[in-house]
Amino acid sequence: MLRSTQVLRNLNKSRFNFVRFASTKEHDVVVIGGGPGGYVAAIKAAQLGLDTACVEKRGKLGGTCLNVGCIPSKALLNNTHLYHQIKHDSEHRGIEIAGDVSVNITKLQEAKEKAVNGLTSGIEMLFKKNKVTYYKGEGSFIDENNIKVKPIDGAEEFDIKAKDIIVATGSEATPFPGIEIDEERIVTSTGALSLKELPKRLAIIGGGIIGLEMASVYARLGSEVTIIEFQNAIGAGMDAEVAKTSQKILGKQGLKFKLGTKVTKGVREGDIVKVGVENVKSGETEELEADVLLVAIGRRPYTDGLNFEAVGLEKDNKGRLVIDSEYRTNKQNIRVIGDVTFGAMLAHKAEEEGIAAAEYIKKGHGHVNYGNIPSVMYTHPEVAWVGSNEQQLKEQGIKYKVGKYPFIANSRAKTNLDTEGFVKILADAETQRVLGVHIIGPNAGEMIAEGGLALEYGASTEDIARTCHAHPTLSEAFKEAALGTFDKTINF
Amino acid sequence: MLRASLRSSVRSFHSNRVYNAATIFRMPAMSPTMTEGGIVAWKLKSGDKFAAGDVLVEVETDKATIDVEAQDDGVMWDILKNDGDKAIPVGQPIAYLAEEGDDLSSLEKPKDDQAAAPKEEPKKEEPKKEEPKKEEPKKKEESKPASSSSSSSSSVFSAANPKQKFSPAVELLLHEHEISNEDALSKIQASGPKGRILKGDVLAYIGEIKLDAVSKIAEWIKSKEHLDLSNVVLAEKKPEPKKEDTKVAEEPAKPTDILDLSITVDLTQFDGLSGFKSYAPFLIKDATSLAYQRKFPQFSEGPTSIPSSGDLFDELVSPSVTESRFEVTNVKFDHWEEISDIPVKSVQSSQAPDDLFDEIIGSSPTSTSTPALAKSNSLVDLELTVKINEKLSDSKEFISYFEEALYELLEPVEKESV
Ligand SMILES: Cc1cc2nc3c(=O)[nH]c(=O)nc-3n(C[C@H](O)[C@H](O)[C@H](O)COP(=O)(O)OP(=O)(O)OC[C@H]3O[C@@H](n4cnc5c(N)ncnc54)[C@H](O)[C@@H]3O)c2cc1C
Repeated sequence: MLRSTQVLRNLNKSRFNFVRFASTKEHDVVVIGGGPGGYVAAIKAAQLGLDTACVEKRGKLGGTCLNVGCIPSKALLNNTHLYHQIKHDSEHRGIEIAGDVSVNITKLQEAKEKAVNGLTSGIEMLFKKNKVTYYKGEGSFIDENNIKVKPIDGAEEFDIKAKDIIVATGSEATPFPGIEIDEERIVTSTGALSLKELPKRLAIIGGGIIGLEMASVYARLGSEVTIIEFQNAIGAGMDAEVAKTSQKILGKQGLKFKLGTKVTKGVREGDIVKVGVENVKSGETEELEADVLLVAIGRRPYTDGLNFEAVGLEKDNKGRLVIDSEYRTNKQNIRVIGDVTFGAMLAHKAEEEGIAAAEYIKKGHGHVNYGNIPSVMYTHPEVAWVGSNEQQLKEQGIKYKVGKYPFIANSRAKTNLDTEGFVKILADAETQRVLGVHIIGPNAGEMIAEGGLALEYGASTEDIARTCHAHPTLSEAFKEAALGTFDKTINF
Repeated sequence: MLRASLRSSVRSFHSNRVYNAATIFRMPAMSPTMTEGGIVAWKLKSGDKFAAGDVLVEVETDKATIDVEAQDDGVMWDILKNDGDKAIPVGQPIAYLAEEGDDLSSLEKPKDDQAAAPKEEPKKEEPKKEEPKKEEPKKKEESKPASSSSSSSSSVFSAANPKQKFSPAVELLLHEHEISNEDALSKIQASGPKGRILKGDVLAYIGEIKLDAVSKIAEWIKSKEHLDLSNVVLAEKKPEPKKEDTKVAEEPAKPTDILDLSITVDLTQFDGLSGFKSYAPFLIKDATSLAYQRKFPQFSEGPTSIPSSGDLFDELVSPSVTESRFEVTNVKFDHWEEISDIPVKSVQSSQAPDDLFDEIIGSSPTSTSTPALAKSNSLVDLELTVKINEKLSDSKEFISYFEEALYELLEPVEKESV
């Protein structure tokens, strides 16, 4: 597509009316970045009748999420879970495996690639269907209406013009000062997602969601995994009780935790990595050896090559592009969404903002409810939450009731021999309005949607408890937990 | 087995509430501000059947006498408050109703799980008196009852959306209290999204909880719906520090949320200026921790911001324990007895979050060169800009804790607040 516009530009413009139009490359909306924020914004803007283009330099659409984030990690998590189950959790179910069960890492990676490619090319189809112009190249600001595109295939640079611009350039792994990433022995999540062989020992800096998910993948495959976390708890943002339970369960699965521990160095020496750690309280130091060190201390906004300075966009002290409540920068026609600006760095949050930004441009109003954005950790059991946690409510002095229901008392979980975890619902003590839902358990990530619906509609826990839930399902635990906030649970 | 027990127990749960027990008939609230009423006359006696729409009782308020109609068919079982009784708080049981066909001899009297409600009635009035502003507009509106629902001064309430289908809890509660759908839609203020009546709204309407409880929680939930942009700290543009300063000053929108602190420190206690500079990040961190510990002993590690649960440092500083009350930026060191008038170019800046990394790798962010002109009587002005999170009411309190902690840790020569 890009090539064809290049060619057209060289044709005799006066002969082809539409060609002249194409060669000036003027759009109503140009979106920079084709991740979950950008591609959704582009499709929505096009659906709203705006002439829309999207500039993406990766060569594939879908951004971090599809290429090196949510999707590949979940492919590995699901398949390694299956492997682990077949190997360790089948005999007592009456399944006997005659030969040896083993993993072929190359094929495991192929299965992941296949899923990724299917999804990214799917977005390209959606662009065609919705008539979004797709420029494969790096976009950088010339001024507030003009963007230079540097094609990734090395073709000549060209400019495009837009009335409105949406920046969705996403994020990258935060580097650890003093530790050099080579994506081979010292890796970010991107390297960890495509290791070619199994590390015997894997050390991970950071006990957040990404660190714990990668830890699960490799522990299931047989790596000895150590997680080093500066704080005294894992699982950023989780309800404290859930975080503790999760740590306990993951510990039983063989993950080793070093909490309250800071990393003092990480250097590669040949084929091993030496990691220096120090206990924050006692000051005790130690040197660990690992075959691979994963640095997963968070992600930071990404604006390399964007040249936002040219139009005077501002960053805050964490590198986020500064916006107002309608995603506008200090330039009224330039909006910013997703990981590169404020709020949780989650794909579905970026998507919601993509829709809202397009609607603001076309209709002048849009909506994202930031009080209702779920988080999910895809370990086993999964952890999912939405709304406020106990620490937050306590801090605000809000009186709340807790309804908690363990999966050990749920008939489906028992039937499946998969009973770890619980559903915990927090409700306002007086109005019974649902304030937060925290689940650790099988399929928590799917079940959390019901919590989101409850929050969105201002449901009381009684509303949930009076809604019929199918039997036998895990979701009955959700209903019982709701009941537990104002009445006695039935089955526990 | 499990399945059967589950089914049957669920059923009995229902039947306890709906079939086997009588329903409590409570003093209805005929207007949002009505707190008590009197019985003028019962229109039927114990044992009488009634049909939906029949008048059960005549109730008087301080303004009018109103017929209360039955919402459903039923039987009058037991009358608790007699003709002529006055000043019965809204929500207090005045009779027991049964369903047609119920065996009145074996019927259970439902336990009044709202028994506390009448006791709370006087309490309920107190805050209203304390808030005459809220009360007055309501009274004015009372002459046109249909619009009373829009009278609340709290922005979380709106008129009920007439097209809504009630949620199960709301529907049941309305039914239990014999509030017709039309009454509910015209009289109950809705705190839910798009005019949805929530269970809490009905509970407040029937006087079981305070309206205040509804608005408080709804306001809080509403405040969380928006991206928290109240505390944006712009990155410093290193090449043009002066411009940066004017920018902060030029932001007239919220000049109150910035506090500039300047503390003069005697450098003899430290290893000269460079020693103090490497100590400063720890000083700020410790003072921050101390400030938070004053209120939240359990969060001794200091705060991290809740709303941005995916942001940069979250995985590092997990779990997010508390919302940041303030943020220290723009840390500068100004050598006091500098001979030249030109601001010392040793001015270095570091931002609080960076400290975390430096903490981890065990180095200090301000290990850059020291000015050549260290004086014998070595004094330094430590200058901080403290950005206050105005979203939380107690932020200022934290900042004074922070200030106190700084002074305690430093024992400065003198103190000045700019
Ligand atoms: C290992 C891992 C697992 C994750 N798992 C989950 C999960 O399970 N659930 C979840 O919700 N989130 C998950 N995330 C986070 C999620 O991937 C991000 O929140 C999401 O991708 C953000 O979308 P975005 O559109 O803002 O940015 P991105 O997805 O980062 O997309 C930005 C795109 O812009 C392009 N770009 C940047 N600059 C330019 C330029 N100048 N010109 C042209 N193109 C440019 C980039 O190439 C990139 O493709 C995970 C992340 C990682 C790393």
